[in-house]
Amino acid sequence: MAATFELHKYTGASAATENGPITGFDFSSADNATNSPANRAANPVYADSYSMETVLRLKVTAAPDNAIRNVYFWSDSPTQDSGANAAPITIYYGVTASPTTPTASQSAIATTDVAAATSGAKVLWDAGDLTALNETTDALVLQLHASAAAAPGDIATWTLEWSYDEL
Amino acid sequence: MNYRAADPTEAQQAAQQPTEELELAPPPIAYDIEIRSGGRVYFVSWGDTPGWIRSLASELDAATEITLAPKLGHADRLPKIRQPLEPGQKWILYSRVTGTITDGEIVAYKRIYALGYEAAGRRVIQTVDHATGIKSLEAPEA
Repeated sequence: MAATFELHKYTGASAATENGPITGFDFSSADNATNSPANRAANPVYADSYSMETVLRLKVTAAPDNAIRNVYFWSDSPTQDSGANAAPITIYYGVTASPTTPTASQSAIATTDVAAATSGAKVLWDAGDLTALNETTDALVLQLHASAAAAPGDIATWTLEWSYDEL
Repeated sequence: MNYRAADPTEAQQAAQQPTEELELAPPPIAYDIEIRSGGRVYFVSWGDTPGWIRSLASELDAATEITLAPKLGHADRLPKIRQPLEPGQKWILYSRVTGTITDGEIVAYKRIYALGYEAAGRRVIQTVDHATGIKSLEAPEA
């Protein structure tokens, strides 16, 4: 029985409501843990605006023998559309131990362009050792910004990756 | 409708990721550990032996060889790998899990096993991919 380290999304006041484990998430204007085309259609992120912050943590649901450490994330995907719909879509990130209530205004936490977080420059998600059941990493806060010139439609494929070492 | 979303069209999404194939957890550890130290061999059922690094700390520090042996049911596809250790060589042993979200959905978990040593600024790591059983002498990225 290996450790189980699941992805959860946190919503509500102080991002204290745990949802999941999740199999995906939406960049939408709603503070929910729904992941569906219908959710994105019902809660769109309009041009010249921000998505609701997405607050993610990894949670230990089966303890490791010794520890989980070296938790990193990165993305090698471009976040801009291509072709005729070339207006920039930017995804920002931030890591914090104390997330605030998710906002659809410009985030005070997710302020770094995720384009800088690549497989060659992975970002530390949590610096500590996780050893016990129900321990969680720090919160990874993501927010999408659509520029004023953004056209309607879905953005290009975007991939987020994370890794950890199990001892 | 004027909106921006993280995912491709519904049809694309359905084609790429059937719900029943979503992976919520990485594959379980498929190796056990044999530690040769002081003329004895200490066996660790990896994933089922809480605190073995602490309980076998002195044996690990004095180890002359560490072996990763496939658990039952995995010996036909995963290689057994050995790492001899000279005095002064610090052992390296861990399993690295990588998760991937594409278009808003978790699409894959990957696990590798890493065994090696570090001494005098030199770092040697053997890795084995859980899914393919392919062994490599390349160190995984930090």
